[in-house]
Amino acid sequence: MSASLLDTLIVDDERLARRELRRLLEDHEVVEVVGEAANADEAEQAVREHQPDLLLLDVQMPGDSGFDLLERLDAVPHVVFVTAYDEYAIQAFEVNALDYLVKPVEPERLADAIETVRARTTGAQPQAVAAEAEAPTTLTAEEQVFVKDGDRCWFVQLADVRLFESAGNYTRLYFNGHEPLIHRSLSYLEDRLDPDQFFRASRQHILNLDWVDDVSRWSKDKLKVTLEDGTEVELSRRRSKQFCQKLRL
Amino acid sequence: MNRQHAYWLCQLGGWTLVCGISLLLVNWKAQEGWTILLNQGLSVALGVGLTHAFRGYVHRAGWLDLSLKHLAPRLVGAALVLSLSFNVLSDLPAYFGIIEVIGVEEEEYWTLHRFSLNLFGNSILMGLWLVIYFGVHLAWDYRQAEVDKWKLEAQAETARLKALKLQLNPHFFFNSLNSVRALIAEDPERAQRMVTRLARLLRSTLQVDDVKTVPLEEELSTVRTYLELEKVRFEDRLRYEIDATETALNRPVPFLLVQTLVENGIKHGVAARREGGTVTIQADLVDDVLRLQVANPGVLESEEGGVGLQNARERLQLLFGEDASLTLENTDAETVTATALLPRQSEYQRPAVEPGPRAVEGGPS
Repeated sequence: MSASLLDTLIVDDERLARRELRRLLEDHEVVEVVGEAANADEAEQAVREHQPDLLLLDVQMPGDSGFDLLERLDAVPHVVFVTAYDEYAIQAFEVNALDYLVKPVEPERLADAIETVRARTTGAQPQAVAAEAEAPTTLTAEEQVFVKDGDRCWFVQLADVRLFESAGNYTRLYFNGHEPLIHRSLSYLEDRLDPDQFFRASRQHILNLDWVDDVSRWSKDKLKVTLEDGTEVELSRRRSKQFCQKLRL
Repeated sequence: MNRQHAYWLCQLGGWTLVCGISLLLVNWKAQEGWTILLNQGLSVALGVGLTHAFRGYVHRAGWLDLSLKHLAPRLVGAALVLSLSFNVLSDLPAYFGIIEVIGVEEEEYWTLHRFSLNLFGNSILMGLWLVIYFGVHLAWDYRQAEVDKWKLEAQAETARLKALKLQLNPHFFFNSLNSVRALIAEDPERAQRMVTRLARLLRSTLQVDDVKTVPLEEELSTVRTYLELEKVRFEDRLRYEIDATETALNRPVPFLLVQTLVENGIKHGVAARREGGTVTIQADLVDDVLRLQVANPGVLESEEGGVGLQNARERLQLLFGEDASLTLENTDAETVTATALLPRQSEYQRPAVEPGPRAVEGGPS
């Protein structure tokens, strides 16, 4: 049974608010509160330490906000926002708007939120196990990242990202018609992304192999890959050779 | 079509029409065509010129702002002066033989009888001009006043709703309710006190429309209630000091002014800082001017402050005049101080303080 427990981290700057959530969660046997954090720094540390499945996250905190915390994390667990009155911040979510709860939290709404998260976690491999096996953690296609571009935010499953494009210290993500920037270099991502799924095509690009539609030769020893949406990505000579070897496997 | 165009169209059209009609009434068959045209042209030019000059005088003398009672005798006088001038001026060219008189023989024309008849006709003409001109103005102003009135009312309503929402501070109220919920399990008695305080604060907030100013003592009591509620949320992170001189306590202050400043201080000096901070409230009299100061730790980003502070500033100056002020400054490297200066209100301009059934008591329990 313990394998299906939902490891949960509570992040809120007010002690009473954390206590109240903890008390409400006592009714839910599937939830195991693995820690509490009063600010973004504490939370970041707790996430690395406990690798929780679920974050109950207050948006407004002294210092860095809940959004800032999510941006700092490579892969984010499931997030349910708990907020007093900033629905406008939640409305920023364009895609897969996650559950959010308003304070004071209604027990029924909390139960719904937990049920939603439970439904999503079933089937997905427990992230904590992978973390113990190899460090640093590899980002697989099932995992989600938090992307904030100006006022808009997304939780993006890496499987949905078809192309990563270098932009200096930033990388542009292409998914579902959006192309926001994240503050990570392409090399950093290459080190973290699952190499079986994500292929470094050139200095400029990493592509998602699941999205490859067609491969053609555009010069003697260089390949051109066409993605399902029609985007064409040219491979460097060295990468073309690697790509051929990879496909033969 | 704007008002300027309408004016000129009426002037030229009106005078041409009038002069045309008057030509029809006289026997002009004896005259040559160009004499008649010249005569007609001169009359139109004179009519337009004279009334236009008069219009300039009306604007300078501010007749358009006069009440009907003051305006009416002036209009009668104006009609006489205008028609006399019109009479004399329109006869000048013929008198000096530049053009011929029309309609009658020369000797028949230069008689007192003819002059009086013309003067009478012109008086009616000028009277008509005045009635039309001032009538249009009145109608126009009335319509404009109606539009302005509605606009103002709509603006006032919007501002009132905004103010109410700002005063209610939903973020604070929902967080407080959440704290109460947690306290019910942890410390029921404290939870009860908190509910009472919340009710008290909510009640005073809802009175914001009825009450314009309150004695400082009462305002500080509301502030203490608010601070005690925030202390439940922020616990050790929030510390506060209130220091008011005896003489300052009776002076009126805009309702919820200090509260707005304290709220601001907590937002920037406590909530935004992990270690929290101390909010210091001071009130004293300097040369009979009430000085209110709210200090909190922090570094100032803009001297203007947010919307809440700008509203407070406007309200302060509406109630206490232009000499009242509300400023925000870094008093030292790590302290931001909001200072409100409230001069003593003279009796006649003091807005009525409606005590009403007030729920705020001497201080927090």
